[in-house]
Amino acid sequence: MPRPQPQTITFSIDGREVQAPENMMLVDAAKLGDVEIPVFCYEPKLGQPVGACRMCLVEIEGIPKLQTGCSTPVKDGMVVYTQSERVKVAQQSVVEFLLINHPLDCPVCDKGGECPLQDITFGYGSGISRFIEPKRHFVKPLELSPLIAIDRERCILCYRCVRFSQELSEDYQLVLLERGAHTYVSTFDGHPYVAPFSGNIVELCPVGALTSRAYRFRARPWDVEDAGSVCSLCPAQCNVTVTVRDERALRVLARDHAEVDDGWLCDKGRFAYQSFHVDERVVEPLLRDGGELRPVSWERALTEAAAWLARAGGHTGAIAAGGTTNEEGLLLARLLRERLGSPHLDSRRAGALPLELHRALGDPRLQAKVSDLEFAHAVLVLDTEPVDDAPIFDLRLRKGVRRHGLKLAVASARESALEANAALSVRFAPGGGGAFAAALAGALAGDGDSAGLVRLARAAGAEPEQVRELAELLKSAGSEIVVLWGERLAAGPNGAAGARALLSLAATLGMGATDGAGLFEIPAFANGRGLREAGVLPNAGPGLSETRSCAPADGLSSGAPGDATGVPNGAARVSAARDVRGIAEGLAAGELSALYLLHCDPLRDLPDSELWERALARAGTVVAHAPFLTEGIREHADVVFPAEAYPEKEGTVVHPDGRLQRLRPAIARPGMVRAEWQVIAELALRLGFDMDVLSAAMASQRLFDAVPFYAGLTLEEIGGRGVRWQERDAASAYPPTTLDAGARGAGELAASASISDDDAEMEPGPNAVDLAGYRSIWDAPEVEFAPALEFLFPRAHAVLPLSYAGGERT
Amino acid sequence: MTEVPRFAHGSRVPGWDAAVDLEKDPAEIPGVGGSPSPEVPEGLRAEIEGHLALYPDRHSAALPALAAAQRMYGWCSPEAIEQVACVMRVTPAYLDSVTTFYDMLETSPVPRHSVYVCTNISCSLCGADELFAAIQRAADEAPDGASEFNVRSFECLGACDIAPMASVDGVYVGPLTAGDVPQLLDDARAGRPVLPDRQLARRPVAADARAERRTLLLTDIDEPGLCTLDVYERRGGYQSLRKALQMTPEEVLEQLKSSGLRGRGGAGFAMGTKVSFLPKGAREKYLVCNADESEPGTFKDRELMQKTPHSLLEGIVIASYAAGTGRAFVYIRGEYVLQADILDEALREARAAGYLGEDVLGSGHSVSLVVHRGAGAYICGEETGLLDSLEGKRGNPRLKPPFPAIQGLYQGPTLINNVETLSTVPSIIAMGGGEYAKLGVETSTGTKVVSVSGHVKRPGNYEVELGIPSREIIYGLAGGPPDGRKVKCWFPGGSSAPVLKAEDLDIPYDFNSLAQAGSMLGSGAIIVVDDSTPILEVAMKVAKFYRHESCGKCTPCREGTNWTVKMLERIDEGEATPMDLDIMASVQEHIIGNCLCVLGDAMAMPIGSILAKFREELEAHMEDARARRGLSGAGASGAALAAYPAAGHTPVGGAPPAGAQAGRRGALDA
Repeated sequence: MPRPQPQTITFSIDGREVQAPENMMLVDAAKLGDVEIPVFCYEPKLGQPVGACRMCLVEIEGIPKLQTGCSTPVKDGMVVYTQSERVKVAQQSVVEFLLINHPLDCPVCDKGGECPLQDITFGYGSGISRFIEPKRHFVKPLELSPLIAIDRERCILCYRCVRFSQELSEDYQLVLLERGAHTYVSTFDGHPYVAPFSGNIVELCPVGALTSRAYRFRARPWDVEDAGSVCSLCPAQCNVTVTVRDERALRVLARDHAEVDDGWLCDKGRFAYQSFHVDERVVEPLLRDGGELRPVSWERALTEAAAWLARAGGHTGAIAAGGTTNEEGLLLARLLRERLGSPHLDSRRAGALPLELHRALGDPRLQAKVSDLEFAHAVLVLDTEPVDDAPIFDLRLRKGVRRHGLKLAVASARESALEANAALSVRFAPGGGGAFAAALAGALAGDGDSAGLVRLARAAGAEPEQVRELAELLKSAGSEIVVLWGERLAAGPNGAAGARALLSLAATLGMGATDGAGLFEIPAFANGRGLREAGVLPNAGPGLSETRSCAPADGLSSGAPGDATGVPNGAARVSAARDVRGIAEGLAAGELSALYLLHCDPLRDLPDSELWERALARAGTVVAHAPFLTEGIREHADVVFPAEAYPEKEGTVVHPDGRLQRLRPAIARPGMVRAEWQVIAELALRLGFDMDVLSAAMASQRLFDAVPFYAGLTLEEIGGRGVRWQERDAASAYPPTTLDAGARGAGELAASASISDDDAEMEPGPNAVDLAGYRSIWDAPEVEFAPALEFLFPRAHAVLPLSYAGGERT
Repeated sequence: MTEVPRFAHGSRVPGWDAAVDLEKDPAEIPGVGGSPSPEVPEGLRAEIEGHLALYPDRHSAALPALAAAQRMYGWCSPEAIEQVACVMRVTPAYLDSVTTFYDMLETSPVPRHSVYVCTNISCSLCGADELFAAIQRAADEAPDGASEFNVRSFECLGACDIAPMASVDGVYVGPLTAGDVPQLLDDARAGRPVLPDRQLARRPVAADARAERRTLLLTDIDEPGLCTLDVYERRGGYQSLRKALQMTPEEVLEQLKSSGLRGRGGAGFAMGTKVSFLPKGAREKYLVCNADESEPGTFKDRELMQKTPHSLLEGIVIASYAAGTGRAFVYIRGEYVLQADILDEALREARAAGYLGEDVLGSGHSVSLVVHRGAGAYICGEETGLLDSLEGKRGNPRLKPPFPAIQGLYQGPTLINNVETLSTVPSIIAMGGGEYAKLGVETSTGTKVVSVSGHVKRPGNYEVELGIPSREIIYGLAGGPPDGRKVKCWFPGGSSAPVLKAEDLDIPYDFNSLAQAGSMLGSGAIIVVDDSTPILEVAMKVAKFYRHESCGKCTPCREGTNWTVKMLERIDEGEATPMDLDIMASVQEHIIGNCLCVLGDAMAMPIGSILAKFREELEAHMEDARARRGLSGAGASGAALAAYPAAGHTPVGGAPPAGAQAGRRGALDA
């Protein structure tokens, strides 16, 4: 869908000439001329204005009645007055009307000091009250959900919260009941308002009617500071503001970024901050001693870990996951490759792809960005469930459908929350994503009738007819097509085939040559993309470079096993390197002896927990950076370094669309927690390896130097809003790929979409079921350990229905 | 829920203690995404699915579906709502929100029989409040203890010609006296027709003095069987449609434009111009007939739909031809059960005869029609509120622009016209627009059905040529106030119109003359108040009505109507001072022009006019009430005034005594 390209016009407001984009709402256009028009109900994020509160009345020359600035598009030559006597009287009267039923209990109200009603009353009210009748009364406060308290007396019925529930998150649980002066906000029949995005209504509320139960009475605005950060609890990496008091996080608010989160947060992102300050948090180094993890000094922990790692040498495996920063990943990779002589490291959930495929999938010309999810002609959600995997994209897709006529297609193994919005929903068997993508690529390339397509569709557990229908939809929708796909599609036994199918899709649809079209991967881990680009892959160094063969440093043992078990094919020079599954198998078989874990509990985060149980049990040494003692860490780690929470970190992460974003310390590290880059560097030093990293900024500089397509980046350039590396000149340094799906036409790959016999031999889905791959949004330690969210953790383990007839239930 | 003593009397509102149960699961769409699915009785499911099939958007079926559930369960219980939600695939909260918006959908269990007593202005002028009390008393004295009657005082039911009246299980009866009450309840209890000789269905249009006047709509309106296709056709019905279909749509539109016909719903916008606003092109366009006649004092559309429904249908088909709309809806207020049934039957006949549906009379023009019943909300007569309601939502008005002609029903271009306007269309086509324009006066052409009610001898509908003196209607046709009484004031166009006094009776009855006199023709409903009624009572009825009907969306209307009623009540309770009249007048000024739709203005204009024109009487009323409370003699400056020391009232010459504020709070908390 073409993005609007408004013309610039000139209008006059309070006697000033102001330039603004045509048809911008007056309230917004006024700001361009430094004129503030007060509003309550207007919130552009919520879509069309409703004009309900009447606070923004302004006088426009030539129109007899006062007009609402929130709903009047600005036109060339318009003459507007916001300070005239008429407008002042209207503003005073609206404030007076609003205060009729408002309790004015500001001294005990949580919103006090940051309350638009307070501010506007002060700025635009008349200062006296003429209302002496009894106000309407409600019992207050009441719980609206375990997260939100509602004080109906304070409500000014601005419609924001109900519009959010009804029109944004579309859960339609929060509504207005009754009418007129009796109207109140409520849910159906005493049911709580529980939904993945419910917390946004607290932030939307312009009065103290909806408050966060977790934040109530914890602070006044003048007690706190705001600190910008990036939530790295999931790949969506929403921009947040952390409310800090006494170096503790008291609240997390959205920090609008149209290219990342559109100003919303999920409840996990909003409330999980509580888990940073709980007793369960690991805040000092732990060492296994007599079967128990016991606190020890940093000195002791580092010494022990270094000794063990030195002993394991090339027999060490490492896995980085979660919110590990790029810098931590880079340092870890260097430690392993350059000092320990081990190539066994990974940051993907279910195994590596051939390097060629990694490079081809990451081709800058093929990358869609977040706003493309909203403005594309069509988006295919393929083998991912946004609300679980990267929740904020769920809202973005809904917005695209609602506002821009985006055609949404969902192809998934599970019932998807987006199905009601989708023009077409297709199911395949769990694990059938790769085969499905191949069938779709074939259908798009014109093999709609072939027996191969039928075989592939069957292998995917999908109806061939539906595959054809989907291909038809994508073909007819328009040129800008985005495929939002989950990492699981290109993982597991059919992973490489899935990746190739994606590339064929991209080539057939001409994504490389079309602005606004492209592939968009949701990685399994929050910084999945960054870690790959930093070189935390078995078969690629920083910047997806080919890895040099690793030789263990003097005195360390070599760990390269005899044959390649980890990598399916390709990448011959590093065939010895093990991917995540290879590491597990190596440990279980005794071929590897040490395991280094960054923000990863294999029993929780990785598939095949049975194999991992054996692997961890057999591992000689497990060194882990962990914020919590989850099962795998508690039972198997020998050294636990306390990990930082994201607002404690300093470094960078990469958004799935290639945007480098900066983490800056917002709160103090609790207890003895140290910066993790520092811990890795210190450990390396003790192993006799000086990486010359003395500060976080130096670590970042090492990253920008190591990754060719980040060349020349600085932390200043990344700043508070991030930078997409694809949009910088250095993107040309992206390694070339032989599978050039991004080239104009990309004839060869498109042709290769034709179904070959190889493809048709793909393993049928159900054998490759990766049940652990379907994780609920609530399945995270940060949810489990945040008191406010605790109630949701059981939901994480509720049955996720898989639709395939032959499939099991999780 | 614990008792909270700080609540002042009357300040508790519905939902004051509505809490959630944290043990419950969130209320998602039943049966979707793993949420449990209730069992729905087959009959109910089939009925709802039938409604769903009638609309392009499933939400539109909300009102008929909820009405069906209410018929089955007696009220919209949470279980009933869940069942409807399950069939409609919406969340129960969505339906709950709709249910609580509309008066006729019950949100708690109610007795079997409903008795809605109209207590709005016209009926109350004729003794409806006493009637309501009598019915309530009698119903409470039920022989077996538990009342079988759900007796509710209702806002204007659109039958002011039979005031005071009641709707008993949907059947309108009136005029009633306290003496009729036992019979009324007995009949209802026994399932007999209620007071058969008093039923509205049998009442002829006010019969006198029609012969000399030129009539179009009410000509032979009482001819038996006129509501059937046979009789209507025999009288030349649907000839205009045939004639229109011979013309091009542009030619039909030209006729409408040249007729000068102005909308008869209230705003008086030229119909032809409105039609021409609809964009040309292939997009799905809609025609909506506004039959949500709820303006107090107005009952002309009821009469037309009941007696000559085919005129309306014919008008709709012609208008849809001119406007190029393929789908049409009649949004009829839920209280008009009889009229909706008649329309449904007429629709069936017309469809069978080929006047409606695919390829009307072989012309290639197709139009479908659905009669959509409302559920009791005045605001749904506002065109955009109507559209939201028709889309199955709460009937909240929308921001304009965009106007419905550009973006209306289901976001498509929509032509909305009143029943009377559309019913006039066949006459215009028959006689020609130019000929029609010769009736009436220049800026107000044609004839108008005027509903006259209140203190007149012969209340009823009268069709007049616009521009005749108002006195002629009130005295000549309706007989004037009862003997010995004088006209105190009159509403020329429903209760939204600023009141006029007796000296204004010679103003010509047309759009422009009334506007010049500071009032409006509105829906053409004249309510006459004679000198036996205190003006405060009139103001109170008006203000309470608009408070009750305010949708609550925009601030000035929601809070302003509420505040105005509270101030009027204080006057009546002897707790007000003349300063309150100033505040009240300023509140009305703050409402006018500042609201999202015109409902706020609809209260503020008449109240403002009453405050301006009857200030002396109101001050006297205030003083009397204060005297009754023993507060008189204090005058306007002494202790009594100091008892109301809110900031705006601070008497000149110093702050109120220290104890006054505390005393006031104490009184409120009592």
